[in-house]
Amino acid sequence: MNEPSRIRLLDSDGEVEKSLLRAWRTRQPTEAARVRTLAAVGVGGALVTGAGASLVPGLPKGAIATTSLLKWLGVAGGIAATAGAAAYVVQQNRVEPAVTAPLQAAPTPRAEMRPLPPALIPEPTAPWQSAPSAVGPATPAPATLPAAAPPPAAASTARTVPASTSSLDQEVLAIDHARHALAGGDMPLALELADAYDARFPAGALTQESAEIRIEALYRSGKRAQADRLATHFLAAHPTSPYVRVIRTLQAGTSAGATAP
Amino acid sequence: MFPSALTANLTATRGGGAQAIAFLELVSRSPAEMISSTARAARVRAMVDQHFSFVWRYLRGLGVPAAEVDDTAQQVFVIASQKIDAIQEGAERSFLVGTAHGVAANARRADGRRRDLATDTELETVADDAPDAEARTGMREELAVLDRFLASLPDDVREVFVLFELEGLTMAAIAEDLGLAPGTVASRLRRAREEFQEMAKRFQASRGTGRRGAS
Repeated sequence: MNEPSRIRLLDSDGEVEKSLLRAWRTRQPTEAARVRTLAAVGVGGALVTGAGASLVPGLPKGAIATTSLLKWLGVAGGIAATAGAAAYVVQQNRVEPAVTAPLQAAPTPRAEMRPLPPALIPEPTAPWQSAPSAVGPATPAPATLPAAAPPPAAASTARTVPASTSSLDQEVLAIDHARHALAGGDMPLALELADAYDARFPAGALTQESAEIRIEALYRSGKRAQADRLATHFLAAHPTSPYVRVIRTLQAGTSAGATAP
Repeated sequence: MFPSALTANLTATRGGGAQAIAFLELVSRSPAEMISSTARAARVRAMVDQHFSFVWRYLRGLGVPAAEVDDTAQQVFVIASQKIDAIQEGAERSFLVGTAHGVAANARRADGRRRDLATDTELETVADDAPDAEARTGMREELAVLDRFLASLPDDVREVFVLFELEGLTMAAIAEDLGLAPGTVASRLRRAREEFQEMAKRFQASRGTGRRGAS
């Protein structure tokens, strides 16, 4: 195919055309938008766990994934042996859901996968579709994706946070956990985790997410008056937030089980 | 899966229960399951890292309002992550482009009313590298003009223009992503460029008039 030159590269076109096209590239999503998307697709935890290749510059992605897997497999037996004890401790002590140590130690839960109208999910067709594989059928992925596996060391050194973990990584984890509680129907826990997030990150990058979780949890708990008050405040404070539509839907009561985008 | 009795016990234990269940689910996976889920998560992560900015801008180009583009981009990636096993390696962008069309159409329908595109552009953070307020204002004006121009194009012409002139894809890649014949891509691009150049002339003339009026 003969490839025409792009307008912005042509000498014959005016500066106005080029300037208009160059302006387009100044449009960039915010880092918070990207982080929210990572959390929504269930890989927000990879920011912390190191399963995301970008955390280790210089190493190929495959090598990182393989290393992570080998570490996992090596200690999986040990972890399994302690699982019973962990369950016993949970039952006996009723572990309180503080955002800090226990949550960071626990495996990253799947970020909530929001239900989407079936019409939004296109059926796999060419050209992007995988060919059927002899190893595994090319069936649609499950409704939710597991988060990248955290390093097993985190399970045994429960109350430590990697020194390299940034505040944003920790914020994503905290919101992940709150969403997990929301998705699991544990509204009191979701509220506690949202409160804990706000206390820990009063000027955090994900305060809108925290507020949205709190509002949704309140509606789903039947605390409509309190939820309405917070929703009204949220809509006034963040009229352009991506959560506006979700909150309005919750307010209208048209979708009691609605979840955030 | 671990025994259901244990699950029930843990579910009853508020707070730590949810975490312990997630933990036990994880350690109860077989090695093959762990390999599969880790590889899948790594692939999803790479897809977001590589294509998020592109998808976000493409949605803007398709007319998704500024206030909704974060939300809409997220929906595109949620759908892609759900379908990741069915997406051929290397064909992620094709899938994302196709999905973006559907999601953008829904977002525009849901938006309902016609927005003032100039006001819409005001909502954006633009031109962080612009040297001063005047330059930022000029950039916003240009973006608003560009948005109005894109909105004036038929959808099939607009998508080709955005992908080629604004996002820098090759015509072959566009043909593949959109499932079009190369000749169709070329003719749509030709039409879009003619209209773009007409619009640019009008914009230049109006700007010149404005400046003369101001001086």
